[in-house]
Amino acid sequence: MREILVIAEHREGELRSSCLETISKAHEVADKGGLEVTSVIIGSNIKSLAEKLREYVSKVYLAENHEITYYDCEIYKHIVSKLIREVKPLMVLMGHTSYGMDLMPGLSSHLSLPLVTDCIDIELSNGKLNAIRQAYGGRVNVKVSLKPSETYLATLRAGVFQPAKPTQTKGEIVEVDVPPLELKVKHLEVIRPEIEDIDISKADIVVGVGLGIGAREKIPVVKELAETLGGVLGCSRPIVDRGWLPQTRQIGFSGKSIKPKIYIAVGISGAANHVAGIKGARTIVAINKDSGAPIFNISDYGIVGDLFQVIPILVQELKKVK
Amino acid sequence: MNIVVCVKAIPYIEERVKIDRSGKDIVKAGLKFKINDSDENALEEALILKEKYGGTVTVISLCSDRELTYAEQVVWECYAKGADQAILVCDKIFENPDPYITSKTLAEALRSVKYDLILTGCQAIDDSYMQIGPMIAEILGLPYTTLAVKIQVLDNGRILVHRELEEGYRQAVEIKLPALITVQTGINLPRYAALIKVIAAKKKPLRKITAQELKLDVEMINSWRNIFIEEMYIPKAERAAQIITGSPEEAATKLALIISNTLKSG
Repeated sequence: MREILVIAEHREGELRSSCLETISKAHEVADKGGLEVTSVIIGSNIKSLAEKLREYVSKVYLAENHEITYYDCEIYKHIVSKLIREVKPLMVLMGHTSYGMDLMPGLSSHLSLPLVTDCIDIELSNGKLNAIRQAYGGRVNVKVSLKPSETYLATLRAGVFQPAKPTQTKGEIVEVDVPPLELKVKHLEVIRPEIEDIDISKADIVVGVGLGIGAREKIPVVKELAETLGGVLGCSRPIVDRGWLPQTRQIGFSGKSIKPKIYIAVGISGAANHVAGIKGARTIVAINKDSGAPIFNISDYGIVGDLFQVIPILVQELKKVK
Repeated sequence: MNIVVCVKAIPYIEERVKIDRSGKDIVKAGLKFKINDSDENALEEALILKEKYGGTVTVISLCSDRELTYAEQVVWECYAKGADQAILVCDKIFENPDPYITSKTLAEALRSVKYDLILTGCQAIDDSYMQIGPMIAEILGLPYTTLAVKIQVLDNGRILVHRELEEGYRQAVEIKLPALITVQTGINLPRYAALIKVIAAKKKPLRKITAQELKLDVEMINSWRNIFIEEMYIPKAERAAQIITGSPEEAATKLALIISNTLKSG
């Protein structure tokens, strides 16, 4: 049986959730196409992770070596390339994450195998891989097909698929050699996030501000809304990029995931990075002047309008109804 | 240090997009174009390194004949900010290239350029594949790293890079030159290009390279294509927002009630 090989991702002794999500989608495709789902895990001290991983797949390729201290592109590329040449999987999948974004395009070029990235859906049709992905900041969906190939590569967007559940049977573990390599990119250390002034991921009420605010001096307009509601102020990535708010306030894939009762997105268009961080919000309200902003596609309530007209009145009215 | 920066002109979108008649692209007529966000950060990082360590900054961009004016505008802005040379790989056969076509072509063009470091943005926000940087590196046989939020030159041709991971984590890596690094937004605050300098930049020499000069033809380009666009469409709403209508006053008043009720219901 041909394989769908999932490249496992782990950090600080835990499998990443994106990895289990990718395995779950892999199973769905495998069930329809008569394929089996396998996984390769690479690192040091990963026996217990391999044990866990075998509950989800029929085979775990274990590449363990104490010299692999972290995600290391060149080592991963070498081991996975060799595995692909030997096993000839029909598909190799990974999360569209800081590891997947790094490894997969290099692997694609290295092996001359077609790659499609950041997929929100994939399917096999007559042995060919089709995918759906997004462009223009989530404003359009694009259906693509890949050039016919012996093996297809794809990265799947995190937070889109439900994580896999353990199966009844445990997969076998196959140890894979790790050859000595001279590395040109050396891992030094992992730097943990800075200590936070406030933990937005635990707040019940969050108001997020995006680039629609236009200028740093205008942020207090939105901050007042957060304070009136007794909530906290978060923001989208571009606000942190410009240094207008600290990174601890960033909502999204590269920042924090929030799970408030209510989230109010102000001047935020709703790019994938941001949306990934607000999936857990119970009610989402969006205020944006662009009716085509993707944020409205995932919101419960919306106002299409100028935030500088809407917010002051909203604040005033909220003070009244309180 | 001689640095090459790969840049792309992308449409600047602030409104609802429309799908064109082919059903495979958006309507681009009437849209303004600008330099891709993280490419602008890559250029800024190159200029900062040049100011500190000397050397040159060369920008390179790939475009079809139709997109030439947009690419030129972007390149002039790069000149105005301090780039020394610019290369435009431009030909009618570069319509809608996929990431591998772009990477192969840029890599071919770069074979005649001297560099120690290649910088690219980590993601073009129009098609957002995030493939170009690592692909170019692999084709040219260079080590690479991605998603840089800090670049620091060490001694002996080594560079310290902080890569952005998820949830505020970073990975510190050391990379040996010559190398390729993809740059994430937020690494720096790009300088503005003064209009007067942009106008002056239009007089600067611009090296244009055609497909033929790179010995590329349509057949070759087609054989490189990995990704075929079948259809583009506006996504359906997951939770279709109930749009609150009326004047700003009316809408805000209605919304205040909704918010207050939502919070009361727990």
